Amino acid sequence: MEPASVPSVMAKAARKACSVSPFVQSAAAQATAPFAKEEGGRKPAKHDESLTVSLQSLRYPERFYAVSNSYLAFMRIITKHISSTFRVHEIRALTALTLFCLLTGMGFSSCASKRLPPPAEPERRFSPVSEALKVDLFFDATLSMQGFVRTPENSYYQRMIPLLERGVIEGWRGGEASFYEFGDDIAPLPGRDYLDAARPTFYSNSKYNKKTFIERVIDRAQLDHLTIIITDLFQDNADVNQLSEKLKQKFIVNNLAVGVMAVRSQYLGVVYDVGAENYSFGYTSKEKPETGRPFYLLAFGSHANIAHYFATLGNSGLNAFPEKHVLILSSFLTSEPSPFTSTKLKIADKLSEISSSNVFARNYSGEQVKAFKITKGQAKAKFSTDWAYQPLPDGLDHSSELTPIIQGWKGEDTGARELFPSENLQALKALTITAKLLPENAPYDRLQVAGDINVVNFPSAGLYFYRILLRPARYSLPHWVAVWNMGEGEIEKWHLHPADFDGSKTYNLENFLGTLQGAVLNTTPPEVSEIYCYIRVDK
Amino acid sequence: MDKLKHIGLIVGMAFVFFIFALLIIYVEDPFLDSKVTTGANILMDEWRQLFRYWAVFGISTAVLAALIWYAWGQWTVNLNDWTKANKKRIVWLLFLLLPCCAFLMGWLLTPPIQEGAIFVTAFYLANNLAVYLLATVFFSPSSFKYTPWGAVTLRRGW
Amino acid sequence: MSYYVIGVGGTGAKCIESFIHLCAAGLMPDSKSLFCLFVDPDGANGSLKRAGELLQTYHDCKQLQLGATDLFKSGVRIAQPDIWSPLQDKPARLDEFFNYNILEPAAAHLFDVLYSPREKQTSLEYGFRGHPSIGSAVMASAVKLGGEEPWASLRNQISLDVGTGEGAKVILFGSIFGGTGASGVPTISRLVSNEFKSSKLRQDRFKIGSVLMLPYFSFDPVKSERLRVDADTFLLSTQSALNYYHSQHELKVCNAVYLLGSETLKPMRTSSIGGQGQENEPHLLEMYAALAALNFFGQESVEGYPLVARELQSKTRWSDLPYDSGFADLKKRINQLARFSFAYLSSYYPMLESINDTGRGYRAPWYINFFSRRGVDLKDSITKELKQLKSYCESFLLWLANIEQSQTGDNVDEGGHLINFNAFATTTTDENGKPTVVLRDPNDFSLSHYWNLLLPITANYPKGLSELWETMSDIRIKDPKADGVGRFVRALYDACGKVKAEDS
Repeated sequence: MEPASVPSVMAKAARKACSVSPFVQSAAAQATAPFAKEEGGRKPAKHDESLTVSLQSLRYPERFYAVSNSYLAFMRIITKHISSTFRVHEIRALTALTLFCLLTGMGFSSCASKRLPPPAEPERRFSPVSEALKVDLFFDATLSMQGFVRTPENSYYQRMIPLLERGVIEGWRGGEASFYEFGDDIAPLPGRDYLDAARPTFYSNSKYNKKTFIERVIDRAQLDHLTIIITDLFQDNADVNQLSEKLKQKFIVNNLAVGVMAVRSQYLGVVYDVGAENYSFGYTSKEKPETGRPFYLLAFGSHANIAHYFATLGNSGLNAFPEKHVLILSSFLTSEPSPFTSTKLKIADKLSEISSSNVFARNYSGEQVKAFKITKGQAKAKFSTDWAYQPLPDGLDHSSELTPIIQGWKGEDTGARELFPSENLQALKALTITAKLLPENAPYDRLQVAGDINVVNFPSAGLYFYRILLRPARYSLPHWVAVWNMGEGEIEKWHLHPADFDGSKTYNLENFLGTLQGAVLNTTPPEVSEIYCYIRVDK
Repeated sequence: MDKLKHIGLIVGMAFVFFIFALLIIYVEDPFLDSKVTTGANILMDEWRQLFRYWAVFGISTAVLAALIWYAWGQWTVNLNDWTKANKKRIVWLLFLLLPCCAFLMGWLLTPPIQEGAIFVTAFYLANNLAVYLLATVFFSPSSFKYTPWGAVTLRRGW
Repeated sequence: MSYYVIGVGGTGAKCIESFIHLCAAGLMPDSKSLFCLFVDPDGANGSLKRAGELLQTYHDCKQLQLGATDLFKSGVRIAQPDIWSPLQDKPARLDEFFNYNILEPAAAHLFDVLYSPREKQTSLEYGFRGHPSIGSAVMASAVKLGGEEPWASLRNQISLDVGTGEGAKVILFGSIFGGTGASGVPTISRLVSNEFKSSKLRQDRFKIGSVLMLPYFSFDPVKSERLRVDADTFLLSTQSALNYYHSQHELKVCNAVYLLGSETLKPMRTSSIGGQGQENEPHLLEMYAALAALNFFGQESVEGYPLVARELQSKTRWSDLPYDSGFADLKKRINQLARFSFAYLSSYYPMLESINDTGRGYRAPWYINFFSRRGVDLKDSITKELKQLKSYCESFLLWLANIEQSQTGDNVDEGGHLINFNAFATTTTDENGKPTVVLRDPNDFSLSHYWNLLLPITANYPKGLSELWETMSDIRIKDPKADGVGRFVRALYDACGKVKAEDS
């Protein structure tokens, strides 16, 4: 068979179509008229004008027949040409192979599994440092504070005062600092009047120098501001509870933090309201910094803003103060979510890690998910991985052991496009997680997670997913809190021997911070990490 | 007409390649998804991509070997002397080394897995051998159309 | 139309040899059968033996089921016996043949006047020694159309053909410079013609022709014999014969007479009075004789006195060969058969032998297609049909080589005429130091010259055999009548007939 050009083949096909139906004769002739010239240079045969019917003028059934018959004729010619090159048996064999592959492939392809919706966004997100911030600073104007400014030399307290506004201005481009004095009441300090806090006369105003009503400051504080209280933090038990409760209700429940910067400063004065009996003791600090009397900057606001302000203060000069500690109580132990998705598994036994796009019905951009697949016939599987962990500085002290809180769901097919996540208690038995921070002692820099899967406990094959919260097993207050704490037992001794009074401690400090920590842990317990595991099980 | 015949046979080899490429992507790959456990250090998706890559590489090599066999048999061998028709099965077997080497490459360079390795090996081997075999059995040059193993049986048409 | 070919004497046998080869190439006008008969008192004549063997080989090859093809197109009926000798079962001496001793005195004296004592007493077992006078008498006495075979069958068959309207054409080959041919051709022509002289149907249904070979070869005299054919007397004998035929209207019974000769007498290799030693190699003029027979068979009637000659004295070209549908057709068919024979001997038969010995038939796809799949038993056919075909191909190629060598000698590169025979044959010297053409061993064939077996070389396709192999691997024969080994042979023949545009 001579090589056939496509146009001539189509012309032949059209002629065959003509033989099928008289209705399409003319239409086919018109369609092939251009090609007819190519066949041997013969002029196209004239057709009966009376039969001339354009394709467009045909009704749809005829048009359909015209096209389909031409197509069939075309395919017959092609098939004939193919069969002259390949023999019948070869064609049959190849056709069978092709059909088998296509059908099998279609079969497999049609088995695409339904998927689950991706996990919800975390409820709590660590807010970054604000672009602009209003900072309200409240000076404790009670008499106990006067001793910080009556020292022969410039005390740390006095040196700190001008740094307070500077810290706001340097810390935030649009930062605004507002100053107040408080005690019995609260009064604004306009302009640069706050600098008077470095003078003894500031603490002589009887309107403010008798009682330290911090709770009034808390009531006045605005959630979108950073509130700083400069005080010596002498609170009785009732005050501690009340204060803690207020802080919890105002700040903690709103995922805001309470920061404490504790500084020992030189002191020459009288410390009032010591202990339950409200004793007063005169105290003069010595040369050694550890004999200085603590004052505190209590900060209320977002964790990031508190930490930034404390850091700015430190850079401004407070870092030079020898006895200084910072503690930020918040629901955040780390600022960045765990990069669980991108970590490489160290151990993966009897399971395969798959891309999370295989299990999600929609796009998901988070980094907290790993997906696994367990093939048929497995009884147990396990995995283990670790990744870099960056705890927030000056946060709560906690153990390296972590307690996993696990919730499990099974994807149920309800006929919808996605699987419906249904809480499944049996599935919880299938997954056991152990997690810890490394190294054994703080500061921690890696988080290690291991999972053991008992495949038998899965109720059936399907897609399961787990939400795993990792929280420290135990918390503790920093050691300096206990050291700076003034216990009840010591006060009576001092009452008998006033000269032995140790003004370098703060009454009820440990109680106060402990209560505060408790409030944080109970209200918004911090998490080391929140991760999700999706497991597709084949049984 | 000769040109059309050559084109037809080479297109036939390409068709075999195409069929097996479809087989790899739509049959073998999903099958292995349910059989293979990759273990640590590699995602299943990445492993499957590598499998597809090496599998297609293997069949590409097999088709290339078949094409070289075709070109060599068609345009290099001079059968003026009938004795030149001897020992051509050995040459055909030598060309088979190419897909075998591709199999080895794929087998060695595919990341190790915990489960299903035997299927992977079987697919690599079967794909490469089958493509080479089918391409040469059905689409060898006319003078050597029955030289490949099985050609006499399979080419019953002629 | 039925065809009858009678070769008288050694030259007649050689003409039939050429004619058989042309029949094998499919040059006959149709596929009607051919009746062949050799007439020679010297049954052991080398040329006759060669022609007889060729005829038998052709007959065997004709049994192949080739289907509708030109190859071995014509059927052949070999006379029984195929060689008729006027001296069969009769005394070999002239005087004894005519019972001289018991002749009446008048007849005996007449006998003495006509024949010398030597002529009367010389043994005629090697023929009539170049004495037509002896031959005529013996022939006239011995040929009995109504009596012995094969004449009886010849007569009956011709009668049947003429009677049924089929028609019959008879042609006789012979030389007029020897003894047997010169005496036999006119005598037998007359006898056969007279048999049907009375038939009203004779005019258009029975035709008889003769091809008379004038001298075209010479040989050294056999000095040991006194009564012998002497090449020196060829021309003289020819002159006498022609004069005689003309004056006596000896050939008026023939519808056509072809006279062929050559101005140069090709020296023959052997010199012999007869017997096996008288085996003269084929000559181009015998091919002309065969073409003359084809002309006679193909034409309704031969009119006038057409002359045929070479255009150039120094060179013979294909255009010098007369053939009814043109020399190009002649050349094409000869070429196809030459390529077929060349390919078969050099490639296909050796491969089949190899497969028969060692198996591995996959080496030759055509073997699978034509033998293995069709259930053709190679072991059996290699000793029968394939071997017969091999024998034919060897004789055809050798004939071609001799045809060319009769014009050229050894050098065919520039001075070659028709056949590039060095591709498959070579000249050597025999035990007598005389040059002779022998077929090369097929392993020594010049395979790259497959495409250029005929001269002049118009295009060069050194891979022609390789392309043939490829074609054979794919070729299909749709003719249902082609079967068995014949299907393979048919395929090979058809494949050898494929030409390229530049081929002419």
